[in-house]
Amino acid sequence: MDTLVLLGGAVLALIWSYTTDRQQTFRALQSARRMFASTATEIIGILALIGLLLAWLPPQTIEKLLGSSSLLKTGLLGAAIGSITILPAFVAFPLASSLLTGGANLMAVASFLTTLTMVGIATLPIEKRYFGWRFALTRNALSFGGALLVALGMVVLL
Amino acid sequence: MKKRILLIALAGYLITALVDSSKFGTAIRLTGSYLLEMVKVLPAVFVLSALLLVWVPRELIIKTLGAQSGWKGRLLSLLFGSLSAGPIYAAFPVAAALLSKGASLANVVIIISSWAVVKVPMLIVESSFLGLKFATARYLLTVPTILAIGYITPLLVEGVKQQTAQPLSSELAGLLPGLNCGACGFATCSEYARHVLANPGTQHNCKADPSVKSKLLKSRLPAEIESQEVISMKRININTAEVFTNKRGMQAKMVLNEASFQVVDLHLEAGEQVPSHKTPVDVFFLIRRGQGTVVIGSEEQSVGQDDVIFSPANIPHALRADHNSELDVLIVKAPNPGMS
Repeated sequence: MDTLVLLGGAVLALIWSYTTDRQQTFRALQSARRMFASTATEIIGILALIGLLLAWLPPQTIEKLLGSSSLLKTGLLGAAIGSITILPAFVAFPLASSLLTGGANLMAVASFLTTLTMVGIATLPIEKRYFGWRFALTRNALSFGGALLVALGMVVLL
Repeated sequence: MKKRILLIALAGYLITALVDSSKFGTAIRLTGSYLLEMVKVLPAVFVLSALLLVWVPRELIIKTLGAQSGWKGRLLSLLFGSLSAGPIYAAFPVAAALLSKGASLANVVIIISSWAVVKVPMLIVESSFLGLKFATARYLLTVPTILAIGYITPLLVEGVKQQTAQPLSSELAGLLPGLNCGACGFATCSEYARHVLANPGTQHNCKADPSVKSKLLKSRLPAEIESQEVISMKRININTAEVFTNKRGMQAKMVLNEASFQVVDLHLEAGEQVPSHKTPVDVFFLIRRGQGTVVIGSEEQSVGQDDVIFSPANIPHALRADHNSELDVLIVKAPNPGMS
């Protein structure tokens, strides 16, 4: 749904730009093409690696790893697994749900879900290209800590 | 470097295929779904980033998302990120484009983080699997965390920026697109900027914004020239330029009267003429319309539209419109004889 909104937005912006100034639009499209070409190989490589990683670390294994009841240990482990993987939502939420019903603690599940999207170890090389190592590492480290805080907050609240 | 990641992945797939073909199938299927998502989202994201770079004025971004934008800027960033689609790596080009246009680092962090985590459609999916209480609690805790990360990141990142060997001044960095797209032949925008400053004649051009090179080179000029740079574009339409009466009592239009040169537009009726006279500075005539005759020194030639005739200083020259044609002439004198 939101992908459609994004696509529609891009198409509308393009039409507006084209009717306003054709040359500017062609220039923009050219630089978009170059941006795409210069990052596509890297992104494809990274996505292929994540696919490979998840084939070796299937949801069942994640479930086993996060099954223990030690709050801190599983919280950290959950955040760590979430950081290195990228899961599509239709896998992530059922997995989280079965983790909870299977007896995993809230801390692990919440930190796993938050780092899953906010921390990207795999996408670090891409982030570095745009913002430099300093920014990429700082943002990811803070997000990792933030995810743990969110998880801790949920343990307290729920 | 870029290819290396892909090569490592390919090697991994090869090994997996040999060791465990069912895992290989799973990996291919997962990667396929990721690639599908990438193909759906990335082209639109890059097109929007490029259009943003071309169209959105820097002042607007500074005002809405810059360092002084305060809570309005923060909330706008939060909203912007959460309304966007796609995985976190799709946020990077957009956020980098905004950063180069003057958005603050804090707001850029907020956009990236909320792009990744705060999604209304995802909230619905999450509550259907984990319960409304779980989902809302996680969202309510995540939003302030994101704001806090936005607050802290610039403190840590900028504190270290000053330690790097040769930082670009923020003024210079502001001229760069900040995409680090590599299309110019350099890994990062700052590397490109250093190269341009060290080699003004370089053939390398910024592909995202071709005006970057000239802007960088201009930024090296002394401050007083820079300050003239800021004044708004002087654009004069000859037809509406100010009319004045010249020394010979003719109606002429003053197009430009600058310290270094003077541009006057003269209209001659059919058969009308400017008698032979000398000018203390170099002059050239551009025939804009009509037919006529120009005399430079002792040489006389008939001239027409788009002809440019040079007349050196202190050589007598004359102009005449043909008897059946009006003549419009743009006259450029340099240096400006009226200013010395």
